[in-house]
Amino acid sequence: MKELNEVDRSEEFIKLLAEHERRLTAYVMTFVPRAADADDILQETKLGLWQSFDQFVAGTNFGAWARQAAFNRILDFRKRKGRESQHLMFSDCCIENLAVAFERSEGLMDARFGRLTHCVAKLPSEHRQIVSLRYHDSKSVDEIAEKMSRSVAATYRVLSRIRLALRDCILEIGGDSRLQSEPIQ
Amino acid sequence: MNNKDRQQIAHWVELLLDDQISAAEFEQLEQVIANDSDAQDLYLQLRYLDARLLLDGVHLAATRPAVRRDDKVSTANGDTRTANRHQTISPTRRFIGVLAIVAVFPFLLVWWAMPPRDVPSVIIAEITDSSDAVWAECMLPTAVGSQLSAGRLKIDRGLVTIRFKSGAEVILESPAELQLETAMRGTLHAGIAVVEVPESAHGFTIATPTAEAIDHGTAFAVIVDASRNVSSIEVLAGEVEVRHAKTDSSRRLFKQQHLTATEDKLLESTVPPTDLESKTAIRDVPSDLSFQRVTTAMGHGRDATISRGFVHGHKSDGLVLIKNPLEGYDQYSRKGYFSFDLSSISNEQVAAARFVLTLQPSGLGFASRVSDCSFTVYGLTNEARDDWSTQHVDWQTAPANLSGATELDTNQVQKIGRFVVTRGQQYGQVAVEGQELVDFLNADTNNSVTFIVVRDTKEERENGLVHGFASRTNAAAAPPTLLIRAESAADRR
Repeated sequence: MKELNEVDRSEEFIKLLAEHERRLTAYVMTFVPRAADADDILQETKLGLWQSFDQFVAGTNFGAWARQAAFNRILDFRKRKGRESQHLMFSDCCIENLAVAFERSEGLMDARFGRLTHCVAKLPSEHRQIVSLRYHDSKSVDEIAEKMSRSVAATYRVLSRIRLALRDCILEIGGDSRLQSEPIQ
Repeated sequence: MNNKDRQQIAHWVELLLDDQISAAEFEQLEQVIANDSDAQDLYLQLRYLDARLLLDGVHLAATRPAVRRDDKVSTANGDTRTANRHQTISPTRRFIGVLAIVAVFPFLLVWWAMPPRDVPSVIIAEITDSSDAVWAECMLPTAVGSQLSAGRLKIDRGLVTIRFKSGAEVILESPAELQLETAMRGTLHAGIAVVEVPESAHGFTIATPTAEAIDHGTAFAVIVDASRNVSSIEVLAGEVEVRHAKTDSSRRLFKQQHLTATEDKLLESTVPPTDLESKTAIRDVPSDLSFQRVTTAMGHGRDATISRGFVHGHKSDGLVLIKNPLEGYDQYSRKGYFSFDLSSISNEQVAAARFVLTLQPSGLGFASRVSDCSFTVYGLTNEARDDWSTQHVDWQTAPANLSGATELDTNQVQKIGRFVVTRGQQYGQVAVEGQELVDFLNADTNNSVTFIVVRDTKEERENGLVHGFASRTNAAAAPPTLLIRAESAADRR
């Protein structure tokens, strides 16, 4: 990248980051439960990516490079905040295993997530409403329980079932529940 | 991993996401995922799914049932944990704003220092037409009828019409990239936008990397040549104020006046820059702005599938299914019926029209087992039969229907046009337009028109795809649509 002038380099960086922004954000959120923490880590990561952009080799995998940088910051963050945090945290060993597992299936997951809207649309109407309350209207589980006239425990259960169904649909595991072939004619 | 284990992990993930998992449960979860790669994958996929659902909230808008959008997040016990998860999903949106600027480092620093904003989930616009559009990567849904919140739209081919909630209409001509910011403002990063602004939206602004055009009445065109970082603004009717981004200088332009905004200044000229001149041929486009949209979900509109035989389980909510089956399997024949309520079009003469269907996977049969398929659209000329009902219509009673998969009573219908769905195509839009359609609509006397669609291409192998088209009840895709331009509307120009 060194032969590029400052503006070209900035443009190239902006372009690459724009392409990978959503996936990088989702990656950090996968490892960091609290969004405020994820936001901080993302900010630091992006600044770090820019500052070390000279080291990025054009044409190589920007996504993997950015995830590695983000993961290093996640580890730093855990060290910094770990002792003072009230929140439960996986061991370093466990989180590193997860990072390796993520890289193993990243391609599969990412390619499949284009199906998300389709899979949400296929949910039964009540489940779609719950997804909408949760993710579009930012309702808490307590509020969803009240709105749907369910207990909080039942709401957690239904949310977990919805999430599994969406995951199976996205990854097309066990077949698309509505996919039927015409009978052999 | 058995189903019980899967459900247990999913339940723990749910509690973890909500910060409600106990220390004992957390320890159990860690033990399960420590060495089991399937459990690790499942855990990661569920967490990644949560992240994507949070980030893709705008996409979900197209699939959601009717729920109020303006509810505030608060609970009786003051628990704001869920709200907190959502309030910081802003980096994507914050980032996109930066794309408006030619990237220079100081800007990046300013952006990163900006405080987080709330998620802008408010609907600010709608895609009202999409002519032969091929989309590039977008943050927003792209089907006709999609409700749009703030975000970016990028189109590689074709034309797209976006109606902002303020009433302003923007036609994007590809290749183009538009950032939707509020109901009164967008930023064109590249390409051509033709803007028509009703009185209710005076002040509507289209920004470019070098300037912003503020409407003071009617219509203007904006062209951004991103490679040269130059914008051109031309007034088609009325008055527009143009402000330069860098110098803050401004000019007022009137009909047929235009100017060019470079990075350094505003250049007034009577002739557009040579290399932009050809692009201003877009002036022909505004006639499209006066298209009115009618769907089968409006008024007395209807749509339905009729099947020759009852096929258990072979129904699909939200879709109209059409099929011309293999010889000898006639019970699988299906035709589509579409009725539009034209009362909103009043008695004006139709000058141009387009009948648009949105393809959706039916989940029935295999796309690979059918070749390119040709469909014919017929208009029902026997108006006495326009009153068919979705509850009672079937193969025997459907207007003009005859027994063959493509057969209709030619005394009761007229051919409107054809479209082709290529092999493997299960998304996108197909359309029919032309004089036959215009004549058919102008011949209508009862404010109701019925179209019948049949598949001409017969299946040559078993298990072929049943073609699905979004119906008026489809949760995600645009319903069958008629776009109509009435003569008097065109005359306004």
